[in-house]
Amino acid sequence: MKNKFILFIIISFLITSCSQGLKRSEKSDEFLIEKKNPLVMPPDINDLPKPSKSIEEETEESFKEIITSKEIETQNSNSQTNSSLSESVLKKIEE
Amino acid sequence: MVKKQFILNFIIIFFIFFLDRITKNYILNLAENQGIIDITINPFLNIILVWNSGIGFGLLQFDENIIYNLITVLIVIVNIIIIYLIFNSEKLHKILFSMILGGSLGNLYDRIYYNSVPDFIDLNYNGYHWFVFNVADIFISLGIIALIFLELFIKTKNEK
Repeated sequence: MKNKFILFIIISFLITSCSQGLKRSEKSDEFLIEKKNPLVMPPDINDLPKPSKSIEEETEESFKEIITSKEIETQNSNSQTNSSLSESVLKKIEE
Repeated sequence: MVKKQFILNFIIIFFIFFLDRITKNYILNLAENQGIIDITINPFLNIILVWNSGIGFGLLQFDENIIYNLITVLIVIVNIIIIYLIFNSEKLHKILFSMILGGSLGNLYDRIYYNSVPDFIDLNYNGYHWFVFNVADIFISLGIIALIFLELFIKTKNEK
């Protein structure tokens, strides 16, 4: 009985001709690619914090602040010098 | 009665041989026209043309002609043994041996004509591919499995 089985298996090995499909492994298999769900908006989109200002915007604003403050300072100082000059001239005339 | 049985066996052998030839010729004609054969029928079945110059499961594939010719001679001897078994066995065994011989002759024809056997049925599941085979292999495997079952179950029943 065992001899018969061995004989059958040897015969099947000899007369069949199945072989390994070597080229399949080199190729992509489209059925292996899993489908992804479509893009949807997250439910807590409104709870997210507002985007912060970029560095460029921040530096620009700081420059603007500095410039305006300087302008105000110079204007103040100019007005002060003007008033002192006029006062001195007036004093001289009175004398 | 003997004549009827002989004609039945003859029809089985030629039916399997010609079915194998028709499918192989169809695939080879497609390959000639398209270059490469790689058809996806469904997620579990592809048609891909692979040539096998060895024996079952891609074994004994050598470039040397002597080994190839030796194996071919061995297969011819096996076929002669199967023919002998067809004439000297019971009715059901005769049919199964005829199935095996029909497939075996189909593969032997390719070994002699093309120097290798074209395989094209690629069964796979989840990226795991079984060996690529042809129609002749289906009938040979079915015949061998049926013979093993007959030996296992019917013979043991008779012994009891």
